[in-house]
Amino acid sequence: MNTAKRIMVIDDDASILEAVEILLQLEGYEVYTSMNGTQALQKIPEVQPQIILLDVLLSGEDGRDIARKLKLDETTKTIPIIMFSANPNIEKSTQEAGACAFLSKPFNVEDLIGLTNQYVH
Amino acid sequence: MNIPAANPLVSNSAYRFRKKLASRTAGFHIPINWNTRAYTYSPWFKFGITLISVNIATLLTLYLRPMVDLNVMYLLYFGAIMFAAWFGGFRFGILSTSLSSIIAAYLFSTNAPLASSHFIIRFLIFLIEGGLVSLFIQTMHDAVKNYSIKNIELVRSEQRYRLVVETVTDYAIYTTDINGYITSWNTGAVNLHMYTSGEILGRHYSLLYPPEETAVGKPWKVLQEAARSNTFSTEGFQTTKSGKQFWASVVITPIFDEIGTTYGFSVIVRDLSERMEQEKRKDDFISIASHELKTPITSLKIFTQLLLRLTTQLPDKSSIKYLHKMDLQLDRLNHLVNDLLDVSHIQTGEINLNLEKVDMNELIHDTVDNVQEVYKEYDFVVKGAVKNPVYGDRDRLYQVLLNFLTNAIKYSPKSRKIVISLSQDGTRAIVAIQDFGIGIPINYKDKIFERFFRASHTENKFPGFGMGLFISSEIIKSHNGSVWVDTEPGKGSTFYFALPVKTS
Repeated sequence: MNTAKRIMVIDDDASILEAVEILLQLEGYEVYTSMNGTQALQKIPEVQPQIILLDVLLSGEDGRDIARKLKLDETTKTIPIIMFSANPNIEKSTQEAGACAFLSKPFNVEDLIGLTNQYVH
Repeated sequence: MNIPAANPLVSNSAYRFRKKLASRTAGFHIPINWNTRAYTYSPWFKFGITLISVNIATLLTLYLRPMVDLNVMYLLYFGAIMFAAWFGGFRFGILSTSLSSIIAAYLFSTNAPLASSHFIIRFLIFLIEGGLVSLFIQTMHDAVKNYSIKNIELVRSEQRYRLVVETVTDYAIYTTDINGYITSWNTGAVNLHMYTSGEILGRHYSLLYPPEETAVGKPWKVLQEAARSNTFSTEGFQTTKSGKQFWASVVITPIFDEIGTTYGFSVIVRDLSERMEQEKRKDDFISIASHELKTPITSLKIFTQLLLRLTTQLPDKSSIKYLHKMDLQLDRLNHLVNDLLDVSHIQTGEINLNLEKVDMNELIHDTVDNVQEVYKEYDFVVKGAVKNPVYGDRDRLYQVLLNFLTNAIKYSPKSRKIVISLSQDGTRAIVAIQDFGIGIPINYKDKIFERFFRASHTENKFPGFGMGLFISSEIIKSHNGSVWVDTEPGKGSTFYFALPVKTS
């Protein structure tokens, strides 16, 4: 296992995914992306990221369900999850699903970087 | 839920009704015509009746004279007077009286001289009695005539209303007795509730409420409320025969008898499910549209800020300024989208509050500081303080304050002063935001808190969707608070909001 800071980003919008990827790469992260929650569930145990960024509204899937599954799996339950959504009113429900932090879209780059760095030592 | 007119159930009942109505109307037409003709006799007819009746009385008197006392003879003439007065009124009654007395005097007074006091007195008495009888008969005749005309009018107006009510197909209109048992049922009611009148007449109207509402006695409570307040309108679920529920507006009005006692109720039900459906679709659309708009804003914002980071590392810093402007415009765009989203959430009652103790003094100073940063040329004056904290959603209250402050700035293009006053009135914290701007015309005063309202006098000289005040007032209301405004055109406005304080 290499020592790079690994991050998994899950969002169904390609443009957001690309922007976040570039940003985090510049911050020194090894970025893995997925546009699909179920696919990400398979990849995560393999990649073993130090942190997961997860969108709530994924095409046909609810990010909160993905978070719950991750929290139930022994191999992934300790990985911190930061969730984001365009709906600022659902922060509480993401916490209940197991997210450690919430960002409402659109967010400031500083906030995203600050939060991820806070959870990755 | 609209049933096509071709529905056999509906058209059958309507047909039966028309048939019933037609037969009734036909039955009533005979007396109507008879009456109208009867009350418009020609003067010749009246005159003829007078002459004939006096003649018959005379002939009868002549025939009966050998058998009966002479004084009784006069009584026969009263019959003639009554006839004349009935058909010709008072004047013909007097004519009949005069004729009778002349004939009687000529025929039956041979044993006494015509000028004797005995005769004159008898003659006068007869004349006065004849006049009184005529007057009495005429009055009676008029009363009978008025009564039947009124009756006819009543029957006709009842028929008219029945026809109007019956032909309404989009509204259920029915009546119940004082206890709520159904006494009439229109075509609209058949359409909406799917019961035919045969099935529903005589049954209790609670049948049309969802079982769970009937179980808690709502139909009875509604009737009581209607009886007490003279009319009661509400929105709620109603049911059809098959048990299907639909959202409807229900207006119940008590029906009074002539001395003012309630003896029943009229019920008007309008199906609102289509309107509800449209509202929901619109709100869903706004919700989805806002979400879709936010996705590109999010990636644009990341790229913009990414560029900003990269640019700051370059020796040439000139583009930083423009990237900052881009970033601010994206924030503005995001605010507009948030407002749209808020409106749709308010409409669907989905406004979530994260309640906590909030120190209004602190919140106001923080907000003013933030606004001051952006609007450096404005002079914000904060006065007073609130003793107790309020129990509310800090972010939402911040949003309200920000909205009132930016509104004050926006609508005072010539003045630079804005006064924010804090006070506590018993259990309420009151915040006042006063500007010295253009003010609001009095006729708009009550409308400015409505959704999408924009005062037309501003003629689009000021940007915005017109949602800010609506959102602010809804947020305050969801905190059990109130919002109001004092304003004078040309002098400025003061927006107030009051929130209950937490004393313990």
